Amino acid sequence: MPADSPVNELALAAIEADAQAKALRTSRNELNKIPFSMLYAFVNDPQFIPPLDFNAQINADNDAQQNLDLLLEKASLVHMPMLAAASSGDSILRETDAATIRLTASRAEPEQVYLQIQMKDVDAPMPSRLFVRKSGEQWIRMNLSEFVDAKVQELLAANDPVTQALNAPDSEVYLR
Amino acid sequence: MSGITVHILTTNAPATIQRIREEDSHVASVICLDGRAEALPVSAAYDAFVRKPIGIVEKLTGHNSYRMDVSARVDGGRSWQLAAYLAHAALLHADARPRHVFATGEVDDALNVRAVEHIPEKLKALSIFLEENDIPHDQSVILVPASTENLPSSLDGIPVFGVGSIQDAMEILQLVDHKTSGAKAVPNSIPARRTGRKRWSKWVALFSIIGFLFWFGADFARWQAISNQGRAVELEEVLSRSSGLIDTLRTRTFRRWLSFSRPKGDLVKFDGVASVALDAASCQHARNITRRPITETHSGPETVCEIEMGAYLVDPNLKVVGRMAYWPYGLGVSDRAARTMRGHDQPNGRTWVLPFDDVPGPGAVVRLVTITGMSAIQGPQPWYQDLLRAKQTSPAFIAARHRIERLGYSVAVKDWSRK
Repeated sequence: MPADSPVNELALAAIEADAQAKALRTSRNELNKIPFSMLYAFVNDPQFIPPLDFNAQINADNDAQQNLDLLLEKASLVHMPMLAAASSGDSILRETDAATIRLTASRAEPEQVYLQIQMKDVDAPMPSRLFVRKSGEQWIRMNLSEFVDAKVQELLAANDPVTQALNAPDSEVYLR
Repeated sequence: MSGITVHILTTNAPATIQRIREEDSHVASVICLDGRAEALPVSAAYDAFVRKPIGIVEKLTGHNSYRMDVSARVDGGRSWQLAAYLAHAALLHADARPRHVFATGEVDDALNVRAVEHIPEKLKALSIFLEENDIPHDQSVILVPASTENLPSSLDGIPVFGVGSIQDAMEILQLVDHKTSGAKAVPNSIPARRTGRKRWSKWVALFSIIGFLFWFGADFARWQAISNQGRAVELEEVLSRSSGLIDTLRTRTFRRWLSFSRPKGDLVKFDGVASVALDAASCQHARNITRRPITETHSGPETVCEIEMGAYLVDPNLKVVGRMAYWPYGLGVSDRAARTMRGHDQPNGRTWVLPFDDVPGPGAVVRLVTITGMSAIQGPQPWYQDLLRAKQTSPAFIAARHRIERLGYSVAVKDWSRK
């Protein structure tokens, strides 16, 4: 069969179309993957601002979820698992051997709360970020002010996602 | 908040202290911007200013955690401390008269007010703020550290006071009582101290003070010499220059001595005559003039041609100086009095004779202010500006009177007005 026969040309076109379709499918899948560098920056870089659809992307990417959990576990200074919270009056206290986290409603502004973190070892490295996740939801990140005497205090709105997550007894916290 | 509104002077614009509320004790005190969930960076310094053992607010109020909301950002430094302390003190005086206090100054743990920078810029920013905001100037005061150089006596009609201590500021604001005496009020301790003081005889106090004089050294003699010569402004400057604990203690002791030795009570008797005629033209001819003892208010139909007033000393060992000011349109209404007179020295006091070029109409006021002490004041007397123009109940007048009383003199006032 001559190389320029119509049948041959048709077969080549079909192969090319199949290759292009495969290439397109592969690119779309790769685009939907969250780069590991982005996960790393989310955990380790206080200046990093995640894209608006970051949580949606995480939800759709099981590998990324596992990688993010692993990064937090490896990089964090303190882990406060679920069910470590105790409520006392207007305060919610979480405590481990390494740190305490206390949420206190403001008496002056009922719509605001004080978040206080105290590290128990004053010589240990001080965290600069807090990660909190309610059960079944994605991680929320918050940069912390500089610790003084192993303590830091932040003022948050009562409806802030971080406040709401910390208020939930089934939430999990990492200090990085 | 009390009736007193306190503003922190800044180089941008005054930051009004909108409110102060208590928080739970384990919460660190914060300064927030306009009710928002944003603690300003100065909050850590505010917490240290509030909480014992370093903080002085807890010593005043007995509580250790507050949230303060301000109308504008307050950046670093410590110049917000005077205003913050006064705002806390004002909370203890819910019945205080409404007024605006603009303040800047650092406060140390001995409650002295220390110098701060950029006061000219802060006053300039305040001036712009006053133009843009409806602040009653006659109910306002400006407080800055006493050590500030080239301090104006007023800004846009609001008196400017240099204060050396919280005590000075409290007295200007009339906030001095057991609640704000510098320590948390212990109900039984104050009366006990007062009773103890009453038991002191005058002689014991005198000998104690003399002992102090010897102990503290020769400066007392020099200050006393300045006082004896009536160089009041110079004395005030010398006493405000103290630095360090011993210096402060010495100047305070000397001020207490001045206060102790200050002549008190009814020191001068006022007397006066008004020369009246049927009309202004008749004032030119002595035969048409009738002389009448003056009363506080002249309500007759006649024209008052001249007023003559005298301040006569009850104790001939004392000295009296004074000024008489004529306000044709009412006390302090115009920028300055139409006439201000020093008067004439007399063997037993002083007299002032004021012939009216511009005869007093309804509302006109003549004020006579006398200052009595062991010596006649010499040289400049900046306190007259407020003593001659402000209402006797105003902060400006009270502060000016307090200022001269702290130098060992007593002030008396006689007002005459045309109804």
